[in-house]
Amino acid sequence: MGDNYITLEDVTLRFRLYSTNTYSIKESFVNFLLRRKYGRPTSEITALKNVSLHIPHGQRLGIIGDNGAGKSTLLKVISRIYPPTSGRVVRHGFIVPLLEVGIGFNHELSGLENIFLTGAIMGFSRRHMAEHVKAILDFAELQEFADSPIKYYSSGMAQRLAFSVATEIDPEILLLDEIFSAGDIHWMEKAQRRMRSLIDRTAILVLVSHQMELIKQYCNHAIWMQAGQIVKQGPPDEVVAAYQASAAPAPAPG
Amino acid sequence: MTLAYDIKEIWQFREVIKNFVSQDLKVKYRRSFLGFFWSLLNPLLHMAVITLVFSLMFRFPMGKYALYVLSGLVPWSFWATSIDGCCLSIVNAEGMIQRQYFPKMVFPISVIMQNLVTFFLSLLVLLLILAPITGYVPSPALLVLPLSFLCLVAVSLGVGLIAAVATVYFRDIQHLISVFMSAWFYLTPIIYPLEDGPIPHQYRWCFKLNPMFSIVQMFHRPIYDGMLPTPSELTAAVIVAVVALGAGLAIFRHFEDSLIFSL
Repeated sequence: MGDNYITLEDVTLRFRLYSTNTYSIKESFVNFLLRRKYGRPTSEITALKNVSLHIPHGQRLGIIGDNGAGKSTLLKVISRIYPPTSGRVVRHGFIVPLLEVGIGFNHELSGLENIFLTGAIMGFSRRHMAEHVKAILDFAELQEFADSPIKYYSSGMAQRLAFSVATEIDPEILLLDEIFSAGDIHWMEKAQRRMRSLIDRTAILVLVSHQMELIKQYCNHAIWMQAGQIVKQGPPDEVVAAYQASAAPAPAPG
Repeated sequence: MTLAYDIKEIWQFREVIKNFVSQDLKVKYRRSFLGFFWSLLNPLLHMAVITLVFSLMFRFPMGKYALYVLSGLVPWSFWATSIDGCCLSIVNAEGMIQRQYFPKMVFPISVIMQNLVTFFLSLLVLLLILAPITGYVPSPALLVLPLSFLCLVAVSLGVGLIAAVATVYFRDIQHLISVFMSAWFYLTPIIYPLEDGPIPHQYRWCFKLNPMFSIVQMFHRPIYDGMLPTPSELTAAVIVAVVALGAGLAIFRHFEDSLIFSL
């Protein structure tokens, strides 16, 4: 510990956007017969443009900006989900991307089995997860349903389980796309406290959020992204103020 | 990135593979009353039907013929279900791939591992059932089976990797593949013997060009004929295995990183 960091050097990410998501042999065969040049209309998107960023140990980085500015894409590049088209990303530390909770849940399997499955996907050994199973079930208040398949859970129960597994971890680098804590009031308070403690435990936090209060509350550094580029970075208060000022002339909802 | 790096990375994700495999087997097991036995019963019934129909049609001696069908059908089922499973392995994992980094090879490898379990159990069970019926005497040639098995896995993984990538770019390819595989099945001497079979003598050499023939022959020889594969059959099988795996790895690694943008 003490030497976790992330460095992005001149990272650019371009990808082609297809008008239809799937392409079939049937289509390409028809195109070939009709001598169409290339049947798949595409447009190229530059999602990130020459982004350089150093996130040192201890930093709580907030990322703000309009929808489509590249915030979530940046998180996905940091977490290795998207390989950059050019540039370099250096990661030192155990990264846990909580872009969405409940990934890999298999609804045929019991809650208990899903805890192990999710743990494995996040990179934890079975032994490690075994030590945490009780705490996870306790927090989710699902002890008595541990052995029932998830498909019989209510959506609230499944969410509680997903949240509890995802937050019962010790990441060195935590990537968050919005802070999730849906549920009833009793649950929300509990969940927020747990989220807070997770954030306190992690060496580095990268948080994407549209809620400026959260950025000011949790972060000690912020960047403002626009069209795939970092337009401003600095203390959260300043960056948030600049971002809000830019939006002020044309007051947009939300 | 080197191949050694890839292998090391997949090793780091072994816990994920283990979980995918056990999850698949558990779900299979739970879904029905007979549970896991279905996956064993299935090839057995399949084989029983084929044996009955064809031994009547071609007047093969039933017991010996059953053994012949078994020794080819079990490896073929492994190959066919592996390709079928690999096809959708990456497309179906989209939800996970979009939210967390995985070496993508984890998914086809998990499919192969799941089928391995079924393969071993069905081979064992079928031999146990058939041995008393046919008066089967195991021959020392069975010692070649680990090699046969390695070739089979290498071919299945190699072609499976290609199928997995191809399906991402052409979603309807799985339908083509399944038709193709069933044609391939009938073109491979599994339900009929090549020697003394219904194929006219002058055409038999064509059947020997089929790459899967050399793989299946690696099982026919020790289990059915009780002898080692001939040196040329063995060489062919090893070459087929190495080429398929090499091509599969090369193609997969070439596309691995850009897959995510087409999901």
